[in-house]
Amino acid sequence: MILWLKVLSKHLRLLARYWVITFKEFSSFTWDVWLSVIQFVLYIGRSIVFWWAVSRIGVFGGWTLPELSFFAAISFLPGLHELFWNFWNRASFSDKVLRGDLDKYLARPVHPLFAIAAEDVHLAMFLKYFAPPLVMAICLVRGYHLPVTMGRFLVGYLLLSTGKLVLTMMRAASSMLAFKYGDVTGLQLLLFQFTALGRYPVDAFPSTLKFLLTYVLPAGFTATFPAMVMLGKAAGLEVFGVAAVLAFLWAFIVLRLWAVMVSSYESFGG
Amino acid sequence: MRTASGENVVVVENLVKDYTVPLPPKPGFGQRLRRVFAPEKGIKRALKGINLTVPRGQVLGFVGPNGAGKTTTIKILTGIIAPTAGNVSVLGFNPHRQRYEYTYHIGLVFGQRSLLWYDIPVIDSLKLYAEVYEVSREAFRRRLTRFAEILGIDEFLHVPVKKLSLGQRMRAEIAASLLHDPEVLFLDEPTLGLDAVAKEEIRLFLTETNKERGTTIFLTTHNMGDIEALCDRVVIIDEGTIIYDGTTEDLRNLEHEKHIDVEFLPVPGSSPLATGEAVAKSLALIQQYGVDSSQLATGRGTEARGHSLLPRKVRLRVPQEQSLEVVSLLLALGTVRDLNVAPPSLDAIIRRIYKGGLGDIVA
Repeated sequence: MILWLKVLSKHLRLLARYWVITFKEFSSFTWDVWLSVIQFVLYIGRSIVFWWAVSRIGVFGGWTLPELSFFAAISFLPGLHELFWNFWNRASFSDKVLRGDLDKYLARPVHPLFAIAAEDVHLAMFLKYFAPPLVMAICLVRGYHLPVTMGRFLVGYLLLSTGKLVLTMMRAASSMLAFKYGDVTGLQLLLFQFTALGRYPVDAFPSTLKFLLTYVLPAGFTATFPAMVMLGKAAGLEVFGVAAVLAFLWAFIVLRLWAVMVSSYESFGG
Repeated sequence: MRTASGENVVVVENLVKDYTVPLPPKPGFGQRLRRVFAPEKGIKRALKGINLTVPRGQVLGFVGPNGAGKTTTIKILTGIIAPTAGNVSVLGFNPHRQRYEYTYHIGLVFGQRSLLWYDIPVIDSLKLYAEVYEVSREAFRRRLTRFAEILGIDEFLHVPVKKLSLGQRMRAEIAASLLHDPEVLFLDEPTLGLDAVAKEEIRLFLTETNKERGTTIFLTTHNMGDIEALCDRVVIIDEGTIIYDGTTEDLRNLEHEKHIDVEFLPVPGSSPLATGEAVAKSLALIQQYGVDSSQLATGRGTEARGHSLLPRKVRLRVPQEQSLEVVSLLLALGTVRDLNVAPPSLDAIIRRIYKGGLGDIVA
């Protein structure tokens, strides 16, 4: 128990140190950061315009225009875990395996997956992606008097984070195949192209597709169900239970795959 | 569980490592098409059952031509890759299976790869490593002072790594790898691409670290200067097999020859002391032992010495027991401007070993 606490405390201290490092890296590229914030706000705006155009045709799958706009805004919120790691989404893990870049992580007394992930810890980047959709969502709630309470919002956000964590773990698991099969970026694109459907309310899809996007490739947990919970259209606890089970299952699979696959790591010649 | 292994900090038994490699395509369109869907792969054996022990405190030079298996060995010893077969124990740990506990006790420097963060000052990388290895603040300060004194890292502690020269970066890398005072230090080509001054500084620091701290050093290099300056012992590996294992001095003694370089003044006529017989004997020696005696045959770069031709510069490789006699004959042959008698360099010896020139002598 004491050993575990010691390990945990060490990793928390490391996390703090990584934050300092990434903040320093971040602050040396300020101009780029502001440009990307503007680009991101425009991107969310484009999504809202899209739903405005759709709602002119009629009510979409039971969602009104203000609800769809709210849904569009929160679909851009990053999950809590993205504060800690973002590298799977950049598909760089298989690159690291292929280029032999895991050497420095494997030669240190810290779990390599933690080290790789923590290197991407980025409080400032997280805020950059968190603030614009949050501000938009608040404006929509105020402007259209949407029935979103603080409690519902927090439960919904927890659900969204868990849903995004599941997809991250699935991506991580597929990245482990790089140890055996080399570059898996193409395979990942193929497997995860359907996660883009999470940008649409999945409850409006046919039941088979809805099932697949809930339990198999759970993109529904990244926006639809959280938005429904926040708007009071669904009960939070039940949906959250499914997402939590999936997150634990996939985290277990990732750790098992890592333990097996790392023995196949061939590094890189001198 | 850490197992005791006496005073040998590294124990390697029958170490084998296989890599999977793509096979070259067979001719024909059908074969090429098949390869797209099911590429053919083969096994390349990088290490063919090597055995090695390294006692505590030794500085071992691990050398070999490109592709010999040096980096593979060092990566297995550091736990980065798993062996295909055989036993490896470093400080009583199985490096691959007990990586977490094991890596607290070792340091690692790759000449071709940086352990530091590119965009941030060196000090931030060092602070991070202090957290990784759980180095106390007091120990961190003390070691930083030592690195500043010997490696001069204080000059660039607050400079981002990307703005450092290669020599400065390598000094920072070595500081980072020694921050936790490891028992064994693995260095993979640490002086690669460095200028003479930087090489010297790093060698001095490593020598002091070995002497003061008793750190065992396992060094792979192509630079024989590193071996001569640092290593007590040399292990030569070629095609995955250890072909020599002995002290640096023994390696030098493998070659029972001396290199003699002589330059004559362009003055006609031989030395007044030289007899006709001595001149003839000297010329015969040049023919026999000259590294490049073609000059004598062609007459280029030579001068008339009576009825014979004598080169202005001669390099001879002479059996050790004959070297004195040859020198005295050369001195009698003409007026000498410069004379140098030296044992062959380690570089030359190892080059000959790679080419199989000392095949019957080595292990």
